[in-house]
Amino acid sequence: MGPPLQPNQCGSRLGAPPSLPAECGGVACKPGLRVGMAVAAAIACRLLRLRAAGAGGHWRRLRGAGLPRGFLQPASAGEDAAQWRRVAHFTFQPDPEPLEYGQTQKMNLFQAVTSALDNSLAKDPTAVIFGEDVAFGGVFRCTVGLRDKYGKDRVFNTPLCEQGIVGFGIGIAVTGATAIAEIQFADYIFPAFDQIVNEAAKYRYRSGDLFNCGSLTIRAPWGCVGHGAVYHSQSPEAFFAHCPGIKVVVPRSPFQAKGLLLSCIEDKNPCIFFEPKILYRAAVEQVPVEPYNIPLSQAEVIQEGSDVTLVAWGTQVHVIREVASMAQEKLGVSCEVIDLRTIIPWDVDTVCKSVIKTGRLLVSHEAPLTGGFASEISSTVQSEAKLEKETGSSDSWLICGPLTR
Amino acid sequence: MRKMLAAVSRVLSGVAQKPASRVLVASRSFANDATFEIKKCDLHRLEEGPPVTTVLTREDGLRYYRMMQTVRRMELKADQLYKQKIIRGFCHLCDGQEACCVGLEAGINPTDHLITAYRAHGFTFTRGLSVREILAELTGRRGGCAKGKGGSMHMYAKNFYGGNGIVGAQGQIFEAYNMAALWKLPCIFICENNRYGMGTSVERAAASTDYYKRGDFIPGLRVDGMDILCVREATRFAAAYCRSGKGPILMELQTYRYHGHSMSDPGVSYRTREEIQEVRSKSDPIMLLKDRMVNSNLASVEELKEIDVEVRKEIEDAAQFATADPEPPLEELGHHIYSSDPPFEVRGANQWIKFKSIS
Repeated sequence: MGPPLQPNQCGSRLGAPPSLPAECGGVACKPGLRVGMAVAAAIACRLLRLRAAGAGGHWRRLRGAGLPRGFLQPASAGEDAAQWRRVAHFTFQPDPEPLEYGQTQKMNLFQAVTSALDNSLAKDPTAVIFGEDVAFGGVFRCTVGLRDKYGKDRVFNTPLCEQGIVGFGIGIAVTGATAIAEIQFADYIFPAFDQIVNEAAKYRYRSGDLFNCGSLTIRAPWGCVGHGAVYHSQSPEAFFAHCPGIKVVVPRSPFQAKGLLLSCIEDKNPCIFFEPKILYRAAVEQVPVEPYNIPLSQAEVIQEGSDVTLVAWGTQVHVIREVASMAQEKLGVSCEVIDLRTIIPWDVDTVCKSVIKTGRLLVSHEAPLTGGFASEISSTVQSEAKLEKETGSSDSWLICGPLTR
Repeated sequence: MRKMLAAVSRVLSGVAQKPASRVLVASRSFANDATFEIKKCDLHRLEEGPPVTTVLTREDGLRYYRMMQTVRRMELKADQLYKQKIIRGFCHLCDGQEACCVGLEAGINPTDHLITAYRAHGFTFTRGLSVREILAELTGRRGGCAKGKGGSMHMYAKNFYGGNGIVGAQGQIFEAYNMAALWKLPCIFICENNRYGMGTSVERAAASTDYYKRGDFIPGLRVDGMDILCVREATRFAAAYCRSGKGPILMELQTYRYHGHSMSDPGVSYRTREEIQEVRSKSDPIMLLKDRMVNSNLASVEELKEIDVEVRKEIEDAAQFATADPEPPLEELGHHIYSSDPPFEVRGANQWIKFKSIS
């Protein structure tokens, strides 16, 4: 048939799927894929490859059932080395200007976050923002101007202690104030993991609703940025997905970020809000100046389609949007693109409804493959969705990002 | 005159004419208050410490006695219920440490906030919950303070944040010390040093057993935790220190627990029975208070015995209630995981049975 499958060596050697440094983008496949999907994705991948490498693509073409495996066989080592692009590439796709929330202003992601925080502090006299270096504006400029506007009692720095930051945040929230904690990078959230999972998530439950820390929101920059390496690129949403009691939210754009962040702050459960750091400056959109809410636990169908459901969150949404439009253009494959938005509790209904319609699911995320959130989505869809189109196989594709090994 | 009255009362109580003896006791005059000397506290980074003498009024004395006796009997009842398997799960008893919780409460206001670890039954009581609610929580019934879902380690009340199963490891404590000192938070950090961390003696677990010094830049006091008056004065001193804006302070209460770390620990594998007996006979907090009160005529032995009887009855009633009260319904298992409107479904251990997370 073809040489044995090499996982994690597909598509992105091309520099695509975009947003990731070259050597990445694993494709985990199992034998016996549904042919339709295999073809679609195979061709999509191949096309991306051709686009990067120029006209004379070096992929072997195999026909028939061996197509997926053959396609996934990378070109031999020396040949295409020069063709590999090691630069992150994706195009941010702004949404059209929202008209229902009043006057809008051009903002990038960090400005949208600042605007949301500004609205919160103005509306809620108990709201406080704290974290490392937030006083001068933050390392990503998300809190610029807030200390001058609201005073040093409401926007203040903490010592370098993530465990202390979240523990302190839980304490403030329990007394009733609105606590907005910043963890400087999602990679540093792990010292606070005990506080989040053992204290914050269980406070309401273990006290029989006598106390709760629902007014706590933790914000952290998240995801790949190209040069971040091990400790400035992580996407830890899967670790927290395993914990009932908290909510985890990832926006894809400035407009989404402001609405979702305001919802998180007002939500009566402790929330973790991950902000894709690569989008802080790269994503620019028209964002309403006044506060508005985007509901949590609701996925958004960005683009309707009929052949395959593509699910992603954060930066990857723009990647798969590009993939969807390529697939449509070159292959006539109609993709339904869903932005999950809230990781837990996630919108099972929307995704299942979509998969029932299309019969195929592809989930894409930056985090490592094993135990990544895509596996949860995939297994839930397979057990919950009563598929009308039975194609005899229950596999799904999970395309994952840079740290996949 | 007093001696004659005492003699008469003894004779009459011997004849078991209860009402008559009570009348006699009531007409006996007690002192209103008495002054006692208390042990001087060791100080760290403090110029002066709590006073070495204190005044105890009769009213306060009786109240402290009743509270300590209630905590003691409640813990012993919990021990009994646990051995009868009516209480399951984890149970950490604080008998021996009554002076800490009662003395602390005596030194602070009800509007102050208190948070502690898992040895929390005494604090739950002193912070205002009734014995019924506490025992019902231990037995996991509806009438419990956390509706039966929290258990021994998760009891909460107004201005009392538990009862926490997971406690601050050393790293967390030091981060908390740093933040409290940096921002001058009015916070008293208290270490109830009962000489053992689970089964390890402090000498084998700590590089420095002077816990009151381990706040480093935070001033500290070492207090005799078996003497309720000492604890009360030290707490008053510490509270005044914090309220004056000087920042946090540390208090180490040297105390002892008679039971093991928890009910699954016999408590004698890492210490001798003689040691426990010695503390019981020489430094028992209830005994110390009782001796003081009787010797300075703040109360009589009979009066205190009466309090004992009343307390025993109260605990019995509470235990009855705790045993008879129904358990919370199974649907409540999913309540309050999230605050969500509308409530959403939660899956339990059985994948086909879903609960609603109502809150």
